[in-house]
Amino acid sequence: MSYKDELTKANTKLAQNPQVRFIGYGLKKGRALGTLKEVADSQIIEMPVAENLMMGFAIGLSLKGYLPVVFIERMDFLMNAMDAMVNHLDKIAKISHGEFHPKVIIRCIVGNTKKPLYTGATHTQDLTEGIRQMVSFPVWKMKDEGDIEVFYDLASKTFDSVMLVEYKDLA
Amino acid sequence: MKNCAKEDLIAFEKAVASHWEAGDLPYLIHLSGGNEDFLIDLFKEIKDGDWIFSTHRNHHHALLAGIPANELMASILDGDSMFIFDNNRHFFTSSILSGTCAIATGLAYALKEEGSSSRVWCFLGDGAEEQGHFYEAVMMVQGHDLPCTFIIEDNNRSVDSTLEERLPYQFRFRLPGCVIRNNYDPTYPHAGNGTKKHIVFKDVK
Repeated sequence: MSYKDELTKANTKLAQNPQVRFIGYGLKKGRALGTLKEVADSQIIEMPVAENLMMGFAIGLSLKGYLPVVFIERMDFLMNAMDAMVNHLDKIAKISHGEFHPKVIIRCIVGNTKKPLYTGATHTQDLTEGIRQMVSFPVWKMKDEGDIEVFYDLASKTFDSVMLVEYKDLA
Repeated sequence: MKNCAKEDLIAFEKAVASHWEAGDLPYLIHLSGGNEDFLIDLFKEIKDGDWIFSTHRNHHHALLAGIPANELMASILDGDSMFIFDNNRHFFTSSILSGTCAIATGLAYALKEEGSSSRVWCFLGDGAEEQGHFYEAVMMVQGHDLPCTFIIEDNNRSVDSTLEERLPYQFRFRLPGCVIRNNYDPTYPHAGNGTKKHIVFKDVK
């Protein structure tokens, strides 16, 4: 099965949890590069292009028992969401002494460098190592098809938030 | 919401200020004061089950939300003045300016999706009003008609700068119906209690 087919299968499985909501922009039409093609519209929340809003919004949903999956179509764009991710999602359990423990799954795509074209310096950065220095939750790279089922399964079961790093060049 | 008299709110902050002056509080504190009448009236509108998102300046909000004064004081003395949280009372804070706005929006979306009659009340100051994150959240609340009200507690201070000092033409966007504003004169400065005395703080626990 191809990398993209594995992603589609993993997201379809994730959506079997009725509390899952996929959050992002262009999702109802683009379906996250087709990987949400089997997901019902009712589980997709279409957002403005405002990554910090998306991340904070996901935290709010999580506080009410939902399992939000935030789709960041380029890791470069995640920089707009750093306050919500680093200062809030990653710190709320600590600063609230466990009163609140939001869990969000972040799907973050590293842009394509060659397939089918080079998308430029601000659309291809792999900032994974930097992110790992900033947050305490796991940041997992999915470097081939075999990683996808394993890490998606772990992401759905773990108590903490997770970032899943996907590579458009492999899809 | 708990009834809390203006005198109680003022006395509580004076007690915190006394601890600060005595050096008992080797932590950053932001004292509330000057907005008691407005808050007491506002909290009459806030119902059990509603959610409150507060700020670094949260002591008045916490007391009016029903957090007992002794519990709140214990948290403050433990260094948690900026980090008051109570899941049972749906009380949440962030000391990052406008950091709660998007979170409040997501929670309001969930309430609407569930058909709940509860709503979200999200406090911010006029300094946070200048953050772009606030406008993103207002756009989403207004664009989805979410049960969320943003309350700008406008003390004409961003840290300690007045609006005129930071924006000489005093520009403000015209804000939609999900935002209300209360202008007031603050009793205390941005941080600490304004004393000019030299304070020797005890060691951090």
